[in-house]
Amino acid sequence: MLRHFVRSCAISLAICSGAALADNSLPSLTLNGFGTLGVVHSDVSDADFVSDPFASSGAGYSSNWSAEVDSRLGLQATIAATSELSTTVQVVSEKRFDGSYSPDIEWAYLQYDATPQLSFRVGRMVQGNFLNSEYRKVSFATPWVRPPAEIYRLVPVANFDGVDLRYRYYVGELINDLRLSYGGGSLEYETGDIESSDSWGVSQQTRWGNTTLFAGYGEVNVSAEELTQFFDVYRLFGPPGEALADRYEVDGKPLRFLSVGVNYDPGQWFVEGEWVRLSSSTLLGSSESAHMTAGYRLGKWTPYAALGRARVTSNTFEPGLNPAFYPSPFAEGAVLLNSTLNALISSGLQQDSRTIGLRWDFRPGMALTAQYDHVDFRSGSPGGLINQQPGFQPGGTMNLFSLALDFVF
Amino acid sequence: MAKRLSRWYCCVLLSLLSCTVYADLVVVVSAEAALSRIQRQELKDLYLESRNSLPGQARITPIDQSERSRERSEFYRRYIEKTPAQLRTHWARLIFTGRGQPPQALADSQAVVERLIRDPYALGYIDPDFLDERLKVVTVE
Repeated sequence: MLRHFVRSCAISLAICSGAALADNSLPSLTLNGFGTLGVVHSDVSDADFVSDPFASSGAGYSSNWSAEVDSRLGLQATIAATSELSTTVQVVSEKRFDGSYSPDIEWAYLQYDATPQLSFRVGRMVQGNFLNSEYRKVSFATPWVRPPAEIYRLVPVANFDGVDLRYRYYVGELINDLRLSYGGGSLEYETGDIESSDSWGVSQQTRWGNTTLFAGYGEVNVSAEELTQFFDVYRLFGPPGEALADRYEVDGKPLRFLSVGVNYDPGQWFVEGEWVRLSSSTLLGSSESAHMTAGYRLGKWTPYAALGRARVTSNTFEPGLNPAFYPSPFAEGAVLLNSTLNALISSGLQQDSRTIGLRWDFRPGMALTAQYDHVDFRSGSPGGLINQQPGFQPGGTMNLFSLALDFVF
Repeated sequence: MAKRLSRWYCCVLLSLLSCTVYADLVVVVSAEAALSRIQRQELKDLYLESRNSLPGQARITPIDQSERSRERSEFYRRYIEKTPAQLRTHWARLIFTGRGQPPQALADSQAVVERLIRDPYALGYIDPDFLDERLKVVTVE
């Protein structure tokens, strides 16, 4: 139903856009775009580094230097029908799970401003779980080549089809934005898809001069057909199998995100920090992540440095079914299930990263950024690397060299 | 003694200079507009937050100048207290999350004057050389 609505929004926008009008008159049409042309090299040659965990290939094993990890193009159209009613559609083309660049709808909503302080939206939007979530794909708007993986890879489905409410209020010199959102979404990947439903979030952002404070809480309910089938097999193994399925099942259990962030930017320099806790009683486990970036502006040059850390706080090993209790071939099946379960619960991001970079704003709306990351994977974590080859050893280190041209128009 | 005197002269010169620099930009509306004074925070909200109303005012449309203009860099440095780099990031974040568009930017002070005299709800900043009886200077508090 909502997906249908999103599509009709896009179509009506395309029809309306024939009527572009002069300044200040309504309806008005505004077109904007953003993009990144980026290459990245990883020194881990037996697995792929990716930014999007559901991508099909990346840098390292598949290619020495990959232009697929960070490159993308986004186009946005906004039509203001009246001063209260507007619609916005944003389409993003980037490397997908199937290897294509076919565009996806990132935002498509109808907005009603009941008052200058209160607005309602319905359609497709992006969850505002973390400080930079909503514009995480607009690399120009952030200091880095890509958002810190420790935090921004935690949310499996960032888009949702639903409703949101935003309330702006002023307390003395404080500018406050409260956002409430509710909806569901889906995400396709190579061998299946992930559905999220009944997901909601609340976030509060306060700006006070050069300081921005952010706090957010959200719950995401996800289900994946593949995982449901996996636990159905576990349930065939009697009460011990059922207990394990109940313990690690994803379906019907919320992932809870709590986050706080702060940014201080007096102009000459900036510092930003974020802390996130993910908790769930599923195989996705619980984790804590933190990130900090500082930069200094020297005219058009902005050198910056960042530190990141992610830790899984739940168990990363499960003894599972005891094969000795089952006759062949169930015993072999139990061994296979246990090893798959352990591979899944140990795949959470556990790493420390150090980043340095230099951004050059060489002309308005364009910036060139060079970035070096050193990532130390902890406790046998595969660090979110995909296409792992037989010789790949989890728990090592990785060096990344990235170069990106970011633009907005 | 001579050294101290010259330093004193320097100070006077500098303060005169900064006085003239300060007078080099005025915030204006049409002479027919009701607005005559504005809080600095309200000015920031108009230019940074896509706000188009003020308490007690029907509506108000902020008008910008081209990114290359001297008036613009002076205005943002003095009243809005944001650097061009901060502004570009700020607007990229707002635009691509659907929270707003930057104010309309006109080529120069002359263009702003022409716009303001047509629209009593518009507010802009200009070089004081362009002031005339059709405009009213707004006091920034």
